[in-house]
Amino acid sequence: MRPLRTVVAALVAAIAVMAVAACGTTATTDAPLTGASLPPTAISTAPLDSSEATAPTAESADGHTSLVARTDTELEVFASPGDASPHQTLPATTGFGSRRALLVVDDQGEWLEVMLPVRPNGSTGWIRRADVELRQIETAVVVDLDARTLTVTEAGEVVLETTVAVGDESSPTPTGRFSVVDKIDTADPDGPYGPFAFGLSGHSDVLTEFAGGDGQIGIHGTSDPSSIGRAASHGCIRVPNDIAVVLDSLLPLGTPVTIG
Amino acid sequence: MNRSTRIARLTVAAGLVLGSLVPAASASALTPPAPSPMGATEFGVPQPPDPQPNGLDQFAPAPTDPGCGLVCIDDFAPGGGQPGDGGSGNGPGNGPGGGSGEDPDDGGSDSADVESDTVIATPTFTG
Repeated sequence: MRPLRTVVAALVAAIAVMAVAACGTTATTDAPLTGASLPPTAISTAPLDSSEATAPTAESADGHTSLVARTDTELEVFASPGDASPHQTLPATTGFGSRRALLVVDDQGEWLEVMLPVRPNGSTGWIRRADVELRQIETAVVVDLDARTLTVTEAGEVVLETTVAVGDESSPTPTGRFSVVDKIDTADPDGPYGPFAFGLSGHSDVLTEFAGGDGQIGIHGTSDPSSIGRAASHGCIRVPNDIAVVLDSLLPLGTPVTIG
Repeated sequence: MNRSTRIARLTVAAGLVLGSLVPAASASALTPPAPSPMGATEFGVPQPPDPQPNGLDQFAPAPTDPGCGLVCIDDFAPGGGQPGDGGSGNGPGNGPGGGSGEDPDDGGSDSADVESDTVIATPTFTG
């Protein structure tokens, strides 16, 4: 029995060493997240410490990671960093009730320049870092108007590509860099917007109002699948309805959308 | 003393000697001595041990932990627990759940968080 006990004790010791080694590996993953160490996921759920000295810049060096500023309270927007008085105040939610989420385009420490969902397209403003919760996202959307395709990438890898309908000649889809500011379940999958619609920060250059709205453009499903692949919309990007369902699980608020 | 008388006397003497021995031997045969804790009779003669229900005789030390058999690890490493205990202890924290915040499968919160921002509304986009 004594030799057997010795062997078993040695096995127990080996198991204990392996368990400690495994725990040690995991422990290292508890270190503060940085752009370089993020796994290839769509979004980091761990809010970043707004005072963190090593906080990433608005966009990582490889261009695959973006910062999104989120808040559930009114947000003061300043014309320049350090201004004493705000230029405007954004409500906590959009007109559709979406939580306020703004794509960060520049990071100046205590001040962040964010993309604003207002006219003219490309408007930005400055917010205080301490006023928002920051999240990193690795999801991005590119719309090719000529090819009439929409591509979703995560950490630079293509995860979805689909044919889309784009604006026609009378109401073309505006070009530029925008972000997702609304995620809407239409509760009417057979309706003109399909099951899901995603509002962008941009607006039509032609239409100042549409269907009761202010001409905001978006990505959405359609009740006219025959329009997919054609220049047939009033400026929005139409996707097949099954793709709209998938996009709801792929695109976090703040996702950058480049249209060109 | 004639020959008959001498034979008779020898017979009596032998009977006396045997009489002093046979009763004791007979008593021992009829009533076996109770085994001592050491497994020896009161006469100092080792006796076969009584078989026990578990097949072990009374000379063998009691098994340390019959339930564990030969791989009774907790006898040797009470602080470390059995292999099964260790695995289940680490599993929820470091295994499938990730628990670190970096694990992409961490509770599926990534996907859930993306979807949780969806609101029910009637869009008015340009269509």
